[in-house]
Order: sequence, then C-alpha cells, then structure tokens
Amino acid sequence: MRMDRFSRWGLCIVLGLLVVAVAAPWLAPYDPMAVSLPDALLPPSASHWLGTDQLGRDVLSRLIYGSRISLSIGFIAVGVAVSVGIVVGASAGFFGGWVDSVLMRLVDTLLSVPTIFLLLAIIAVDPAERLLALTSWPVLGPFFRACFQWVDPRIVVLMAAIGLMSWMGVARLVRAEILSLKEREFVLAARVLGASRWRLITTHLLPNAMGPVLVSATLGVGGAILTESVLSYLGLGVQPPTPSWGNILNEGRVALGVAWWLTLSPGLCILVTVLAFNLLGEGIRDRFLR
Amino acid sequence: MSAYLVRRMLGLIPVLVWITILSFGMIHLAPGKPTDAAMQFNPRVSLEARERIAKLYGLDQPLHRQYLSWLGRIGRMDFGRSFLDDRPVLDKILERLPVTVSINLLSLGLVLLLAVPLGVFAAVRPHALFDRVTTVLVFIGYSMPAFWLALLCMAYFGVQLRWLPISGLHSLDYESFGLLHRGLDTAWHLVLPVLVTAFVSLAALSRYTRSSMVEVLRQDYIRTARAKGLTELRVLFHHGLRNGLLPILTILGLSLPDLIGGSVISETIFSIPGMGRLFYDAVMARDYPVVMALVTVGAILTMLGNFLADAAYAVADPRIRLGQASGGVA
Amino acid sequence: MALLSIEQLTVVYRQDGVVVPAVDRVDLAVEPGEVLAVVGESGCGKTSLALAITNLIRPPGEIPTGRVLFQGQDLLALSPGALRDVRGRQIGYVFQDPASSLNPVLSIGEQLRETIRLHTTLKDARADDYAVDLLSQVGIPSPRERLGAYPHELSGGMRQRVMIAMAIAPKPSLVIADEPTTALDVTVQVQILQLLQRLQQTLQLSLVLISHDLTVVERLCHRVAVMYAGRIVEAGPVTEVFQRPAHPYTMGLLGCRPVRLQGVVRIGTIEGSAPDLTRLPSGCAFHPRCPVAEPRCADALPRLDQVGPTRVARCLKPFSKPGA
Repeated sequence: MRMDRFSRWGLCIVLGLLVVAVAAPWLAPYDPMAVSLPDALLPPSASHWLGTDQLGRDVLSRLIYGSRISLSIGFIAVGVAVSVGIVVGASAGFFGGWVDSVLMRLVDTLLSVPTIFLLLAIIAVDPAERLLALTSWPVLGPFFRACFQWVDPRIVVLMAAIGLMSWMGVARLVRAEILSLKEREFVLAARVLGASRWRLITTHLLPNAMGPVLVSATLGVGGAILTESVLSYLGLGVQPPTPSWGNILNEGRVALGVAWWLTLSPGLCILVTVLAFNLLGEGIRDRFLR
Repeated sequence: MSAYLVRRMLGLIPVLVWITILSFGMIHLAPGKPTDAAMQFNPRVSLEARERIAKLYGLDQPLHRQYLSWLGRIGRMDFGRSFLDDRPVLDKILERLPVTVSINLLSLGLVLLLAVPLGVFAAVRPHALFDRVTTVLVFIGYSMPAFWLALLCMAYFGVQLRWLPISGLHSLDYESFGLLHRGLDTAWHLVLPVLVTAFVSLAALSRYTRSSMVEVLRQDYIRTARAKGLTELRVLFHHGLRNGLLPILTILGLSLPDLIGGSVISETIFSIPGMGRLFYDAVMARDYPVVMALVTVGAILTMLGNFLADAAYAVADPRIRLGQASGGVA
Repeated sequence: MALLSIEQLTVVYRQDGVVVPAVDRVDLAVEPGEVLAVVGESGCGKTSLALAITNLIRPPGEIPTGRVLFQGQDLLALSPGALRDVRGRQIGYVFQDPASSLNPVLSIGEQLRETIRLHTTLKDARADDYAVDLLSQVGIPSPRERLGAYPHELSGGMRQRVMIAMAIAPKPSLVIADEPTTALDVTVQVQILQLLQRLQQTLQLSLVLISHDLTVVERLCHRVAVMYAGRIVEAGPVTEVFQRPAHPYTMGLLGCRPVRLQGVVRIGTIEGSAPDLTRLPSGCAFHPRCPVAEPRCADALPRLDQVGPTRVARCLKPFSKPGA
C-alpha cells in the first residue's frame, strides 16, 4: 500500500522528465552550447538559476538538454537489452537441450565479468571507428551517413554497449518464465491444436512472460542512466560539447572547491531520475506481480 | 558436499573457456591489427616492441592457432607486455592487486557489519518507522551515482573540513614515518574509498537481508521456537538469522562483479594505485595487453568469489551439505 | 478446578483497515487428564484459538479481550518472561506440518536439547540421554544415531514424532495439538494418533486436539467443542454429541462423514460454503446454510445454552433439547 504513493510520484517524475526532454528547446532559457567567457563560473542567480560553467554556458539549459541524452540512451539501451534478452531467453527456455546449455553458459560468462570492465574494454576497441566505416559501403553508405548526421555514432555505440551489458538478466527472466509456462495446460492445448512453434512462442508463451520483463526494463532504464553517467564522467561516454549529466560532472570536477553548483545539480538530476524509475519499477512489480 | 563442490568447479570450466574466447576476440575487434592500433595511438611504442608484439600475437598464424598459443601463454601466466612501459603485464597487475583486494574486502566487511543488523531490525518490525526510514534511504542509495557521492564526500570531508585526505594511498612524507605511523597513514587514506565503495553495496544488501528475514520470520519453525518458550532474541538470531543469512551468501557472490567494477570509479577519483585505476589508464591509452589481461583476471576473480560463496552456502545449509534424503520408516 | 479455562477469548486480525474476527468470545474448559477436541471447517478460527492460549498471536493479529486461566493464573495478563516459563514447560505444542515446523538448519538433537536445557535442569550428557529416551518413547528407531540428523533427512511421520518429543520433553500438563496428522500419509496418521493416545494416558496429560477429522475425534477424545465462524456452537461429551447432535451445523458435519449406505459409500455435504469472516451474517452465523433456519435466527446471536447436563449449544432450536 505504501509503495502506491511513492510509485505514483515516480510515474509523475518520469512523465515530467519526458516532457522536459521533448520541450527542451522551449524550456531552456539559454542555448546550451553558447560560450560566454566573461560569464564563467557564476554562482546561481536570478539570470542563471543554476549558475554557469567554465565556459560561461548556462548550467540549467545544459541540464535540460542533458535530459534528452540521458533518457534516450536509457530507453534505447534497455530496448536493446530487452530485445536480445527475449530472443536468447526464449530460445534457451523453449528449445532446451544443448541450445539452453550453450546460451546459459554465455550468460554466466558475461555475468562474471564486471560490467565496467566489459564496457570499457568495448570502448577501448573503438567500435565507433567501425561504425563510421559503414559510411563507405557501396549501396547503403549514404544512408548511414545521413543517420550519423542525426545521431553521433559514438552515442549509438554507447547505447548498444550499455544494452549489451544488461540483456543477461532479461534472458534469465524470460527463460525461467518460459520454462514454467511450457508445462501449463493452455500451452499443451495449443500444441495439440497444431500451433506452429513460432506461434506458440509469440502468441502464447511470451506475452505471459512480459510481466517480470517490464519490471526489469523499468528498473533497467535507471541503471542505464547511471551507467551512462559513469562513462561520461570518465570521459568515455558522451563527449562534450554535447551536454550529458555525466560529462557536466566531469567538467565540474576540477572546479569542485569553487563551483559546487556544477557538481550538485547534475548529480541531483541523476539521483531524482533514477529514483523515479526505480520507484516506478517497484510499483509495477507490486501491483501486477503480487 | 565434496561431490557438490566438484560439480560446481567443473561447471566453471566452460565459463572459463568462454572468458578466454571473449578476451581474445576483443583484441581482434580493434580496428586494424593489434599492432596497427598500438602504432596508431601510441607513438612511444618502439620498433622492437612492435616486432615483439607481432610475434606475440603470432599474427601470421591462422586464428585458432593464435588463440591456442595465447591460451597457452595465459596458462603460464604470461600476459605479455604493456604497450605503455613495456613491463610485463603480470607484474603491473600483481603490484596493484593487493590494494584493490584489500579495499574491497574491507568495504565488504563494513557492509556486512552494517547491512545485516539494519536488515534484521527492519524485518522485525516491518512498516514501522525504522523500516520506512531505512527503505527510503536504501532507495536513495540505490539511485545515486557512486562517483557523485565520492565527489561530494571529497568536497566536504576533504576540502571543506579537511578531515580526510582525498588522494593517493600515502602522504607525501610517508617514507619518513615509523611502521605504526605508516599503517595509520594508509588507513586514514583508505577511509573515504572504503566508505564510498561500501555505500553502494550497503543499500542493496540491507534490502535483501530485510526481505530474507521477513520471509524467514513468517515460517512455521519460528512459531515452534516461540512456542517452546525461547526468548525473542534467541528466536531471532539462533533460529531466524541462521536461515536468513543463507540467501545473503549467494547475493554476496553475485555482487562481486559490481564490487570489482566499482574499484575503477573509486580508485580513479581518489587516485588510488589499484587494479581499477590500472584498467582505466590502460583503456585511455589503448594499452590492449593490459586491458585484455584485466578483463580475464577480473572475470576469474569473480568466479573465484562466486565459488567461495557457493562453498560457504554448502557448508552452512545442511540440506546441501548432506544431500536431500528422506530416510527411515514412519 | 479446570486445568485450563478460557473465558470470552477474542482474537482479531487487522488487515488493510478491515478487522477480521477470527475468534469471537470463546468459552472453553479442559480438565486435568482430559482430551478435548476442537473441530470445525478450515478457517473457522481453530488455529488462532490454539495460538491465543499462550499469546502466540503476532501482529496483525491481536487479543482485545478475554482471559485464559491456566491453573488459576491468567496467562494473558502475565509478563512476557513469566509467560515464556509457562510456554513450552507447562503447555506444549504440536503443529500441523512437521516439514515446516522444524528448523531446517539445526539437527533434531540440537532442537531437542534446546528445549531440555531451557526447561529442565539436565545438561550435556544427561540432556543427551534424556533426548535419546524421548526419541525412543515416541517410537524412533536407533535414537542415539538420529540425534545428529537434520529434519530433511527424516520422513514426515518421524518428523512429527520429533515434534511430539519436543512438546513432551519438559513433562507439561497440557499439550495442544493443531491438526497433528493432517499433513501426513494416511497410514502414518493412525500411528501418530495411537502414539498421542498412549502418551496422553501414560503421562496423564491433558490434550487439546484440533482437527477436522471426526473419526479421529471420536476415537481419541472425551469431549468435543464445535466451532463455526470463530464461535463455539456446541460442546459436550463426544459420544453424546456425535450420537445426538444438538446444533444443525454439528449434524451437518456428522452427515459429511463417509458412510456406507446399502453398500455404497455416500458423503453428505452442507450447502453453501464457509462464511467470509469480514462479512458475517447477522445473528446466528450459520443461518444462511441451515436447513431449519427461521427468520428470528438472523436477529441476534443465540447464547450458548445448556442442552444437557454437560452440554451446551448455540441455537434457538437445538435438536435434542431436554424433554423434547
């Protein structure tokens, strides 16, 4: 009962954030990239509600635009994770046998490597370079080039990498659900009626397994946002001048003693956002799974 | 029990194989050949180093043979040499390993010391004020970026109050200290890193302890214990906690990767010369041998930790230790 | 004087703002050396009653009113420490499911020794000897070797025997057995009941046996109390109640026993289902299902009236009224 109230707050905050992210151009008081050296490192004031950074850029505007990055990375990374996880988990659960063994060993392996290690290692091999190489393909080259005008390939890599770090949990969940659902009567009934395997999986088994997946996905957005902020903070995520809550923290680090507002506000943004997703996820879990 | 443990150990072998394949595969995902990458980003790599690297990776050999020879070298603990300073990777890792392991063990100890009582007391009176307050704090702890907490602590305790040092493992004049002073100095420097590393796991673990204990206290054997006339304290600890801690062991094992990964952040922020810092520096400098080696080592450490947690669980739970058996007549 | 005298005992559970009356102003008495049965459908409050006797009710349950006089003392008014002395030592419990009622990570020897150390003056080797003695009393073969066994290594019947051993170890004067055989195999049930009967006679215990199995009750017990929706609706000597039930519910229950009629086994039923304790019918809670109900039955809760020298029934039209 108690969670109801908190998870409603979580939902409100998430929705509010989505609004902020979409309406960023209208909400931000200044251009987040506008450099103005004479205004560098100003504390919060009436004209700059959250102060300015070393290059005189308005922190509030950068934070608002940063929400776009964080939320989009969060959602897409989770999208990747859930997609891969469902495919792997459903295959393992449904086909069993050696398919199951091999896939689950892979899952175990990936789960043994500390996430950060794996992420950094992936980034170390510069997959972005590989992606850029796609633009020189014969037919699809220009298509990719257009895509990459719109979204930085490095961010794509980031989203994919974070997603690829989190699919294992989803896979295990889906596999467990499928295993328990496989033996239920409605599945046996469908089989007797001659349903093809594909139909069995997509129409009967998967929809019932979606509950825990939804919870995991919601909580996963929060986790992905945290991961992105860590990477950006370490200089390996979103690169400046594109504002991300993590790299604002990175830039603020050197001025920690003097410009506390550069550290406090982005951190609070991350905290509140992740908290909101966590509360929402827990609320979904309590409401639909208990 | 030994049969159980042996089975677990055998199960780890395929995982180990996958890890080596993964590490090996990663190096070949790098743009161009490993040597190209080294040459491209690292002008400091000398000609001899380049030739040695070419031989090291046997880049003229077919892929599977490269893999096998690499595997052999790993088996001999030869991880190659660092691109940065040409020192054997193994040496670099070994000198940093104790630092990271100590910080992690210390924070693990701290976490257990705090999280278990917190979880137990919250479970004893569910939904009471203590429980609600701790739940809120736990949620906030879950959602907070650890490095942000580190930064704030650094700013406040280190810079503002000047109580604790904010970087490094030793003070500048460490060399001139006596043995005791050295020990204290190191400990003083470890306070912030250990606390920050611990904080993240504290939230998760106290929550798990709470739910585990709530589940345990609902069980019939707790009712039997009370019906026997035992004091609440004995019921809680002798009967309750002994059962409630079992899942915690598994959780501890599962949280090892995060603990080791967390070292990257805390060591980087606090400039501690540990494995995490080494990894970060290696990634930034594209020092592939070190990167590969640390991925493998990190995974092995995790597997070791998991195995130890499994073994501890097997010892603690007689159902596993003695195997399931239902014997005798009614 | 009665060994145990329950007066107006009430147990309620608070859930989501709703108050559920599990036990409603129950009066019961148990004489020394007597076996009293408490019967009724699942969910009628039998277990809550059993637990309430030594105040084992935990939140969200509570005991708002009532007295439990044990050897003259009101247990519910005792301090926690004093109550703990009575619990286990003078009143023993045997619970329904031995698989979950024994701590899985402690050996049965440890659990037995715990009771012995707590309630007797025996220690170490003497305690062990006594434990072995208890185990053989309850019929466990090779008792000394069994001391180190864990609950999961024993069969259901053996586990229940261990529970019984734990209950009688301090030589209590009263044992409360809450459906001790329900979770066991049919063949084992008989053995456990015979064991209980034997122990009751040799140790001269009073036994409160909670059950929904009337055949068992008939064999083992002296008196029976019938519960419905948290209230006692009939009580009296077993043979009398079973041969000439006074309350329609009791009659219905007896009719539910498998009976061989002209070579065919028939099982009767009572129409309807057990009432939702949060929405009890007004007046007599049984009236919606009662075959002889009248409009006035819904008006007010009937009192527990005397319908025989040692019999009571809560009904406006009991069947075997004196002189009827």
